[in-house]
Amino acid sequence: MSWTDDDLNSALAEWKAEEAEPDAAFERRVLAAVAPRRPWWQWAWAPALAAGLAVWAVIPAERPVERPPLLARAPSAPSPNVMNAGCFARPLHDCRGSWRAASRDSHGAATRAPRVTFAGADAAPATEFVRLITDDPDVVILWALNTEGDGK
Amino acid sequence: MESGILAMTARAESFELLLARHQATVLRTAQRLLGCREDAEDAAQEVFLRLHRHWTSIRLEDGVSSWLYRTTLNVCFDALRKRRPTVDVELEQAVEPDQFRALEQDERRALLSRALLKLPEKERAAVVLREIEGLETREVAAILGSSEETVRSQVSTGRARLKRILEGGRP
Repeated sequence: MSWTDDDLNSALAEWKAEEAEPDAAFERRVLAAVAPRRPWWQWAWAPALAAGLAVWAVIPAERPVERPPLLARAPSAPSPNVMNAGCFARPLHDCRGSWRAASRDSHGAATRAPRVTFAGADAAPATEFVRLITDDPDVVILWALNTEGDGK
Repeated sequence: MESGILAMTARAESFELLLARHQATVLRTAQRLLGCREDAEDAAQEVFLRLHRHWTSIRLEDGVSSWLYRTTLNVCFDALRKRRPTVDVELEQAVEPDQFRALEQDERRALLSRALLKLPEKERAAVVLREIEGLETREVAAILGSSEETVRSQVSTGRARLKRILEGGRP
């Protein structure tokens, strides 16, 4: 006995009428599979942050150097008052007259405190001369300063 | 930012609605094409994963059902090609219509399923969609990407081949 179209139709109709029930387990399975997952690059911040923290913890921060408190200010260099700069170019005994003249010129007042004059600032750095002027115009004190070594 | 979150939420809700609405159809079709519940579940899951992946590019105005049927066919045929060596089932013996009707429902379904697996892919798809799923010839043609005439021919050839298989002959 062979299959007719009606036989086949009835066989297929039964299958066609079969209703599939919704499968909650299958639905949960699909929803779990499509649950959003972060791509790898969205997790890249974690190792980057860890590496940054490690570097921050290991390497000490470069702190600014504090300036020490100012205890004293170095005195400014005195302005040289060269009475007779030209005499430093000559031997000392040749300058006596000019010193005396300069001394007489400056003796307007009867009494004057000794005045310290730095002379020869432009001279050779080895020796400096300080001329002390007293009340007596005939007395001139010359003070030679050795700027090298411990003599200063 | 907020609109993006809203769009994602709306999209997720729409997907869940589509899943709830179409999962039974996809599962049933996959089972009819594959003849195995476990394989059908795997295939149906792949179909919905693809739906989720290509959600923004799917033209819903064409009907999501057509897309789901077409994707189900592709996924199932891919699965069948991978397992073809192990599924080349033979019917034990010829089954006469009276014997067929006397079988239990599960047995009748299993017998038809095995007979369907012997059909060529296109004919099997046409028979399943037209004769079992009950789609119109026009819809089947749209899903298979062929003309209605071709679908009619495939259904006719598939039915004849199915009868020969059930009678114990070669497909």
